[in-house]
Amino acid sequence: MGEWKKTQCSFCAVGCGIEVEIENNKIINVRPDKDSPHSRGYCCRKGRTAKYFVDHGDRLLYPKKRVGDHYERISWEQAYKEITEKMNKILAEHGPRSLAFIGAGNPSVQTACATAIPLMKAVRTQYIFNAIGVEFMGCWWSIGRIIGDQMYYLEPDDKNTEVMVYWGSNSYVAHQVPNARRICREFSENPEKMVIVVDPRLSETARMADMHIMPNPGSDALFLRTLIALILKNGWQNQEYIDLYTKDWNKAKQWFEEVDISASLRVCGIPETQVEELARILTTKKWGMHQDLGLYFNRHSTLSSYLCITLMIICGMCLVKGGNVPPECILPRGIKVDERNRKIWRTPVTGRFPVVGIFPTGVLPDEILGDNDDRIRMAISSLCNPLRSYPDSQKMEEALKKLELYVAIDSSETEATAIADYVLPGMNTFESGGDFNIFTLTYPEIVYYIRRRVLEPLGEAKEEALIFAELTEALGLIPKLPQWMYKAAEEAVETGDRMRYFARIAGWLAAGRMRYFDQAATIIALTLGKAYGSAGLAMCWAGLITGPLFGKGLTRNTEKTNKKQNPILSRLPIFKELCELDAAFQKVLEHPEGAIIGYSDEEHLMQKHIQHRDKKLHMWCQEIDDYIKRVIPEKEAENLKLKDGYNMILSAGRRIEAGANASMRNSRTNQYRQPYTLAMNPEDAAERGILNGQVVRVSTERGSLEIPVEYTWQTSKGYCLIPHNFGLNFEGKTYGTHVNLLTNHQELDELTGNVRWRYIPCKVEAI
Amino acid sequence: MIVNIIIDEKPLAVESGCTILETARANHISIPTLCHFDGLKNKASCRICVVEVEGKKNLQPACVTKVKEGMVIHTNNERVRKERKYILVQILANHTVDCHHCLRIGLCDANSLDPELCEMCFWCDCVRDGFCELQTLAREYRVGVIPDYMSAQENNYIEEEASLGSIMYNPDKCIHCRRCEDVCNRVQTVQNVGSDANIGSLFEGNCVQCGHCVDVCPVGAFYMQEHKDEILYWTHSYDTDTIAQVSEDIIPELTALYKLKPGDISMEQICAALRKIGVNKVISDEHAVLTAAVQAAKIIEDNIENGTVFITNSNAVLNFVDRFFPNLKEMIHVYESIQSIFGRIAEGMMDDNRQIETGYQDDYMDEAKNKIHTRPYKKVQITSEKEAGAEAAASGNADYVVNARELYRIFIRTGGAPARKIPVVFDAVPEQLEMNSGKVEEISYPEILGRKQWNLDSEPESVSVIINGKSRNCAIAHNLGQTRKLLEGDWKSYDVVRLMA
Repeated sequence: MGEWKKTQCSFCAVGCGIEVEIENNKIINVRPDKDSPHSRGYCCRKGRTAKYFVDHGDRLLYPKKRVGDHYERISWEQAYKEITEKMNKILAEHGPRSLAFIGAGNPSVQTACATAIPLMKAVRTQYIFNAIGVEFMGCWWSIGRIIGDQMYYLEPDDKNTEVMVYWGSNSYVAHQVPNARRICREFSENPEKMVIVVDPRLSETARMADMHIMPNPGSDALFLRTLIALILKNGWQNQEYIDLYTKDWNKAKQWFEEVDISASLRVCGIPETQVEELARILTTKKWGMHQDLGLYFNRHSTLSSYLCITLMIICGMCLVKGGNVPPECILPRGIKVDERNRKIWRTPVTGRFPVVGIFPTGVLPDEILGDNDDRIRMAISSLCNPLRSYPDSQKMEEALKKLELYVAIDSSETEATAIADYVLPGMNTFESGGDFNIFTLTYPEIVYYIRRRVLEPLGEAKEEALIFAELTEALGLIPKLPQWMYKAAEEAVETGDRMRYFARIAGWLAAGRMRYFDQAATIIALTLGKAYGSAGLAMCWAGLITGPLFGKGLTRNTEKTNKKQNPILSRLPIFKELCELDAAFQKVLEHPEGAIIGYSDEEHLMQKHIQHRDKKLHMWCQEIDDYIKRVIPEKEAENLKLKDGYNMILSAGRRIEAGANASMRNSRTNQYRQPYTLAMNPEDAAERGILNGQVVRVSTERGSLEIPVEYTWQTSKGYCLIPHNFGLNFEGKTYGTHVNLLTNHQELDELTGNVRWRYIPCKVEAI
Repeated sequence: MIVNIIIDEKPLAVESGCTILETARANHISIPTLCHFDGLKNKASCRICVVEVEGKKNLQPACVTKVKEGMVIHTNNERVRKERKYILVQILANHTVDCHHCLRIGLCDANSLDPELCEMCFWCDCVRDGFCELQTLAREYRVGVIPDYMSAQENNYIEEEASLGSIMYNPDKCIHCRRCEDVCNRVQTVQNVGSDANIGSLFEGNCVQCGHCVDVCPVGAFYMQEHKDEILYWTHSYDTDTIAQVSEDIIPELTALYKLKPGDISMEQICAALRKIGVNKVISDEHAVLTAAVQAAKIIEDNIENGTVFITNSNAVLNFVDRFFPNLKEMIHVYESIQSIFGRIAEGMMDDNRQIETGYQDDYMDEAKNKIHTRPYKKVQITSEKEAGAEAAASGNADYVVNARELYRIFIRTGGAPARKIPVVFDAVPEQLEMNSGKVEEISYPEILGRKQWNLDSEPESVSVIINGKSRNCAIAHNLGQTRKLLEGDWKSYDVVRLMA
């Protein structure tokens, strides 16, 4: 029997509370944590399989550098020295646009971004690429336009809503919202509630549906436009809400006039009667919608997300109790940017802009491989695998190999560490002294939790937050820190009086050192981090007290701790809220399962969350106005026709029970099962003379791979699916092939750059 | 004769000649069993029921060991529990990996197998997941580690026997309890399973497709082929309609599968659950049952004066007669099966709305977009009749036959949860389709023609009923063994013989 310790899962953004059983510094068992205030005893298979992904033969234990065709172990000092020399040289010759960060803020170790972003700011590069840049661009950009803040996305108020709408979301299998299966089951089984699923196929979530709407793959945007047109045509919209809370509705309304409803629905392949029934439900009941990758990775992804929010608004379901609500941001989910500001970069070759500071990931190869002088010449990737997680693996590999300097930080060997110039060993979240999760999804409770150290780190691995802080230091981007700072940090840890330490750092910066203001996190990571023995934990504190919650006045349940913790400072107006947040941190320190530190203001969601000065939802924008005109039935019918010998639509990234992410590399959990398959409708396969289990070749314009066919009624005719996250080399063996061999890095959403993984014309041939 | 024994420190005076198992159960002491099945022969093949008898070196199987004067028995001490657990591990290690995948890859421990946790992980693939006798015992005995003997040797797996398209047999799941053998050979007298059976394809031997091997199988070795997703594919389809007929005989098993009390699930709630999953029309089988009974009553009344009347509407009985009593075939009056009547009702009901424009999927550019298509439909028969699947496969009178287990498995994957649903009335069978012309509302001769359950007895049921004004001796065969007995000559003492499988 080992010792049970509480922490949080880090294999996806939901971060369920888990308990891990540790024996000899190894995880031997994982179970969901019933005490968790956010997951309440829920945990999917990903977390429960943790032990296979933490300690294995492919762990990176020491820094190493590439010498010719092999790697040599080096010391951290040598690594920092050589890396920073090269970085400084390239920066001096080619300027900040030569440097890109990749990753830094994955669902796994997220505190990395707390010091990576200051480093970016210090060298004045704006390039950061990560998973947000493949999926959330359209949705978050739309939110930014409509409510004025890209950081808050809308999720169903599952406690108060009547109808749960899953749009392009196989939530039951993906577990990408807290308590996914419980919520889906309750809405499905409860006769007073309802599940509506919009998905071209019979997914596991669609099976749970009371109403399943099956648009032809790729027709979601046209369908949304038509649905809104139908509601308006019948006068079913919530005009009172629209009049009260929106701006420019009269302009935006025109997008939906003269839509040929019947013709459009024919292209979408949905019977008009069903759409009318849907429209009636959406305009008479309280509903919340979870949009997911089926929409984000599809044609017209940004327009679709924009129209989803428009739909919420015209039904009066946006930012209201029982409708769609914004889970509070505890930590920033990126960098606040507005691409209309001229200071915000556009990528020189592809002309793309960032959303929440993150650039579309698909453009990386073209921005590296271009021959323009301001191309990207060096990259630091942190706990991510661009060669498997981003589109077009071949092109990505070609690009990364062309970099003048490529530093990969990871806890395991990956396809990326196999080609990097320098490889730095990072700790995983079970070893890190503290890690946060920026994707807090609870509502209205604001739950903060820290992923605690449950395993002693292996080898010379360091926390990534520390690696970036030390790199900043080695690059000479911060002054030498005075000794008193380290001492103050030690005192803060000893006495628990962190606010005094904070005040002193603030005072030091204010005394003529404001140019280092952006480096405050790095300074804290180096000093308080040292005292805590964990830069990550220091970032969990700094992130919380200076994060988006500051200034909101939503903190609750912390008065007692605050009084004890900060008896004097908490009385000062400037410090009052900082102290409350510090007290919240203290509470979370004492509760490894996490704690409710506040509540959203459910009655004033509009006031609190609309960032436009007029506090109105801005319905119209030029980009959408230009774009939507093209989404009409005639053109869509033409564009949805398969051409050039392609005979099926491939969805790259079927959500499967064996689902994992690219950091879960051990295929041991798939033993006895065969999750690497091409899902095909049995009638489709039979028509092509393909047998169940037969190996076929799937080809797209970018590449081809071989894969066994799985007959399944879970997909429609003409639509086949391959899961992600196979083709990972683990301890010398590879299971399956990575589907990104088939995806195109240039097939990006025109407006914001989401990839198009759910709509890839392909050919399926027997071999 | 009475003997004095002590079970688990409880002194008891019991009938001699009883087994320890019978004695214990009669005294509310539970002993787990796996191969034992009430009414079938005890083979003591699994040894899960072992108990410690003081003075005996080895543990004794309670199902075959008779009580004797002065016996001191321990049914649940540590030695016994350890042995049972060992046996379970050995069985599971030689069992396919469809269940307890987590234990096989060393992911989970025995304390983390709560059904709620299992839903968060994934559904194990086995058709009996959640209601398998072996799985239940493994959980009760906290089996936490399962070695893998099956994959140790290559090609150790034997292919599933799927030739019937209804009853399936997966030899890798067989635990050799031999219940099926006893049912098939002794109760049904078909002699198709086990050492006496024809070697080769299991279902090419004497098999008459009665399906009772599925009834008694403790695990997922014998089972009815499922079509869960295929059915849902059609219920969700825009171009194809679905019609289901539900028999109330599924309610007891469905209620038990949900671990609810009798009465917690009504027919109307099942109807609501089926509507929820997208079935377009749902009818109860009452009408079909009545129609069949009217046909049967008429056959009896028309023929009773000419000698013994044999009646059946069982597909398996007809197969049985074909195989074993071909010369008696002419004597048997066949009336329509419930499923066949359903097929006709469905046709009538669905024809009504078949002339609907369809083909949304691709026809925007299709010249013929306004063409009237024939709207296809699928017939789903929901019944606990084990032979229904084979009948459907042979005759096509239903596209899918769903038993209580599959219905449960569909419902847990679709939020069907009938007990929570608000009851909904069934679709009415339109008047013009009423197939019992006289609009009979009650079954005539319910003693003969009412719903009857399959049983394990060797003697047929015998009743006396007044037909055409005279009292008649009637026999009802509740299984094929009884059918055989009647056909071999016992029929001579009866006026009416109803044969069931």
